[in-house]
Amino acid sequence: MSAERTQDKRARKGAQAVAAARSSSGGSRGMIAGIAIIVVLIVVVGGALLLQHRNQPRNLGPAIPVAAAGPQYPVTVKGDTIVTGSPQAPVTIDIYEDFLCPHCGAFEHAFHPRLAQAAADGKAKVVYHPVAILDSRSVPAGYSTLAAGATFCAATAGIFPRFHDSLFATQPTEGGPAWTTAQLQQLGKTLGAGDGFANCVQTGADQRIETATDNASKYVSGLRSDHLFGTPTVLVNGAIVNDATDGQWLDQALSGAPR
Amino acid sequence: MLRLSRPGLDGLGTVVRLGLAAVFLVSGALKVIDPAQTRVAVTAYELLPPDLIGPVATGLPLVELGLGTLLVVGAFTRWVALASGLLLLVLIAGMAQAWARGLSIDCGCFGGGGAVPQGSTRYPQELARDIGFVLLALWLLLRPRTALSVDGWLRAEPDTGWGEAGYPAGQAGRNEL
Repeated sequence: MSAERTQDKRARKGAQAVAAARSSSGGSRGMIAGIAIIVVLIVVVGGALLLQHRNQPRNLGPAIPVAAAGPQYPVTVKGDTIVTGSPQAPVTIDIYEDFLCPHCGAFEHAFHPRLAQAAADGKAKVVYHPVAILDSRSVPAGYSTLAAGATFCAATAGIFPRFHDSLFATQPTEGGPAWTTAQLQQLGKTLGAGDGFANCVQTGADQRIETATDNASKYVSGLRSDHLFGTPTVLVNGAIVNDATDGQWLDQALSGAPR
Repeated sequence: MLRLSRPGLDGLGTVVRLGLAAVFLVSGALKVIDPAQTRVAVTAYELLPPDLIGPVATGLPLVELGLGTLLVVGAFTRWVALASGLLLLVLIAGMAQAWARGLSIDCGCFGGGGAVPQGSTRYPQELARDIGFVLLALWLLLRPRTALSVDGWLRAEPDTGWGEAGYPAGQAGRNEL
């Protein structure tokens, strides 16, 4: 109420002032409104720009940082999968992952050292199923397929562990720019892959990855009551792990293994 | 037939204006907080050259927020309504061409966007919704007079001439529609 009255008074005073200087300029309300609108627009648009900038996916560097070497374990390509560790190991752990999927990144970050150690110690056979379900979520599109295909090339070239680890250690942001073919080729070269590797990455394995993804989707969704397939999906001896976020599943899986 | 009084129409216009404002503020804000997703959504239309995708993904939400802000305060209502309508028509055209070309995408109108599995597109609903928004803009274009607006406040200023000058051409003296 009183604010309104003050405003009225001010407006009246302004109007008087305007009437006095009528010949040269417009009304005081126009001036006030104009300034207020400009200020509000600057605040809104400026704030939005800041927010946009802060939430921008971080830029990737010129080269893929190379992950440190971990424990050594045998690697073989078998169909649509990359099998690590001893085939005679008492536990089989299947991991379905998409190289762009943030939860897969978190999963790798949390469990990869123990999985690699288990594979190296012969305690577990860890089977990687590189799949591509997020192809549309990179710029340019298709990173999931590209990276999955390159991982098979890396397995053939004998550099799978550090190649795989590097891609997850510095994972592109979902929805943002991703590593390119040339950068993947460079990473392989740095890790000591032969000449065939660059060619293999260039050629790609689109059909193989598509088939692998379809098969994985059918198989995993058949195991789940909600008939969905997402990544990461973890199976222990063929049984789906419902909560792979804390380490209990892995403790249980490995405790079943004789020393 | 029901005939609304001028204050009634002004009030209805206010609801229309604030409704359209909410549409733009929400859609702009959802795009601003996830710029990567917005980029994906813009890319999915397969319409723009790569060099333009970034600027459009950055600029579109800012334009939406700007229009939303002007609609909230009710400034330059007619011009803002015109700009809103044109923007919506451009977005509708983008969706229509995606539909016609058989692209399987989500419009990304309110965040989200990008490719979706075959058969889960929702073009008819998305288009109908946006056409509804165009009708809101059209109302304000034809009858920009609303209650609780900067335009109204300027119009009411005693004897400075700004009431008319600050108002888009054509509305002066046209009280009923």
